[in-house]
Amino acid sequence: MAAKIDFKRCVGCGRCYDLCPIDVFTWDEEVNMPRVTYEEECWHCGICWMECPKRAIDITFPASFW
Amino acid sequence: MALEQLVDKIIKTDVLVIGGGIAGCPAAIKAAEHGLDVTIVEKSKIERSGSAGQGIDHYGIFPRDGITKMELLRRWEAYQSRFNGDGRFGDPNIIYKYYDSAFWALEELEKMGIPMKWDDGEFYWMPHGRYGGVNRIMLRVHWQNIKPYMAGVLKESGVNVLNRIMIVDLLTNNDKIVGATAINTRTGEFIIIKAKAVIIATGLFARCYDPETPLFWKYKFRYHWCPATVSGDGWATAYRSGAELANMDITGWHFRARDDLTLSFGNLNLNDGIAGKFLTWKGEEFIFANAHKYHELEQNGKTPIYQTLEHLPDDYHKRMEVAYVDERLISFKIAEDRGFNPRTHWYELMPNKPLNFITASGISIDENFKASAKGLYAIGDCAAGFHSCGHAVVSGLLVGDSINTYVAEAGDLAVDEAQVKSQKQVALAPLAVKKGTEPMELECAIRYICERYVGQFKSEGKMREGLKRLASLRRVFLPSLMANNPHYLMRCLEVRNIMDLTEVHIKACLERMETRGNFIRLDYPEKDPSRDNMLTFQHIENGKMKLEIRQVPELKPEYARERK
Amino acid sequence: MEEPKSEKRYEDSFEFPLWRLVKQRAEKDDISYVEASKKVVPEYVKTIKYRDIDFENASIEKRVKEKAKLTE
Repeated sequence: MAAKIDFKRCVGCGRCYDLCPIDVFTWDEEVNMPRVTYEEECWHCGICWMECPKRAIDITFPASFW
Repeated sequence: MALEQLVDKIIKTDVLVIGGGIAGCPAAIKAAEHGLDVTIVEKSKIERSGSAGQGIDHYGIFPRDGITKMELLRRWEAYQSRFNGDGRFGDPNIIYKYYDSAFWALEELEKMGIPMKWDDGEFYWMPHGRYGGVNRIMLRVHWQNIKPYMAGVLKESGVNVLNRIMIVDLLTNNDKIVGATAINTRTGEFIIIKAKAVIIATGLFARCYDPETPLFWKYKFRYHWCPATVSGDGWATAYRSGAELANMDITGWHFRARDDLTLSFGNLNLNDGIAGKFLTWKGEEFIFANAHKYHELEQNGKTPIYQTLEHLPDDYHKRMEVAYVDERLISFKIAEDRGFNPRTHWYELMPNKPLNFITASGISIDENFKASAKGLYAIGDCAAGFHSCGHAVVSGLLVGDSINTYVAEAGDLAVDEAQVKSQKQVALAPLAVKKGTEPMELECAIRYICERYVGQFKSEGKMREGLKRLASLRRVFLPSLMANNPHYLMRCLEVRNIMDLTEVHIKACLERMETRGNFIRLDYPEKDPSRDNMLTFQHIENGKMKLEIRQVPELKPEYARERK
Repeated sequence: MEEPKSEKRYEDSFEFPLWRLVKQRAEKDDISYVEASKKVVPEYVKTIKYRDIDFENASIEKRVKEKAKLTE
């Protein structure tokens, strides 16, 4: 699991969806929330994580990083 | 069929800038200053796109502190030769121009309101000890938010900014470039952009090899220096339109920290001037390893090799922390989560990984950043012969500042409807494929060919086998690429670009029948003197690849004569 | 058997002092890590000898001399 959203913190501002350089997010219009849809494409750049105003995103690094 | 019926949107502009990175943005801003109608397209979102997306900690190379432009040129060429062996690998006039324009560009950036100074209101010239005495020729900057700044200036400049747009191909009229076709990677709209001039600023290319951290299962987009979006879109579209690529053989093999992104990119090497230590696993220090040295160490059981910063004074470790903020905030988390404390950690170096085709490759340009096709320019890392953030900015500003001359004479050129139709057909085909191949599967197959049949230690037989297999992939799997939405369509277009460039790469390697620097041919272990200062150029002519070997230009006498 | 020098290089938990400050500020003000870092870094920069040219030159030259010995 690369980028993961904590929906208890997320306020649906859309910054992660707006900024992701590799386009891993989609926007769920029904609930006005982002989704990590292309999870396997995440390159752990940390842009969503550092830009989130509620610090609602956690990044987990894959096993081969260790 | 009228053009309007073929496409979802038609945009008409004077200058189309492809790529909203650290080269494209200044180019667009500068061109707009001259009153031109400028459109910039970006595959991601400009505020956080490109290799400067997370930030940068240092900028530029300046002739100052007693270091002349000629000395800078000499150092650059020495640096190139560390990777590529003896000789020149890029036009020295282009490089000289960069140094010559360095202070002008600094003024331009300040006029744009880009923060260049340090916290106390003065420039902080970063110390550098690499060439003996301590020089201060690079600016240390707090550029964590350089891309949001640039995005703001773009808006104020009246540039038409289009995010989430990926170029499909360039449009040509006889021998001129007249625009491009593109898709919106989220809405799927197919658009055409008619332009009098096109500036390509799409950065580097890397995705035909595996990243330095092997990811066999998933997370296959992992590149250290440049973002994971480096599918070579600018190179491939330029090449398909008939423009020339240079040095597609010399990828720049080098050591990469396996534990990359732990540190601010610059700082494993820069560290505000204190060089890191290279060690074998037993702790024996050595100066610098190239591919041959690594091979020797490996044969003698002395690998893995490591780089450390354990000798840095405490003050320098604090500087590193500030550099993390400026360059890549996630570095803190990557280090802490894994227990890699820079004060004690030994960073394993992965040998023999390509430096994103960084040292010399790209779109072939002249001293004015003009590509070989009329109306086409290339700036930043995607242009052959130089790379760096400083160069990207300077090349962008120079082209932006002068392109109005070309645009004034370009005239209005018609777009060929048949060409648009054909490009659209090829581009959107994956949407109609229901039981086909996922783009990442094909990309992995292409990477495997490069890893197994090209790689660091090349030979003719292996490369010919690789080309055969690549041809099979093209025949069988390119037509069966499938995409059920615009996002995956983007990936299919990227794979097409990767495949085209891989073929160009292997053919260039086949033609270099020598070993020089880190370009190693097992079947030609000696350097070929007839290849000194001779570079590989490739373009498409009458539907076929044409390869030429030409000499690197000499430095102009007026530059060589200058004292400073 | 030679003890591997590597064991101490993987620390179970360590913290970057600056990152700790950024996290604390982000939580206190309930802002993003980017915004917090903008507020915290200027103070941290004051604790670093960026303008001590003698210190920089000496530190760099010390390492240059060490490296020069390797070629001998």
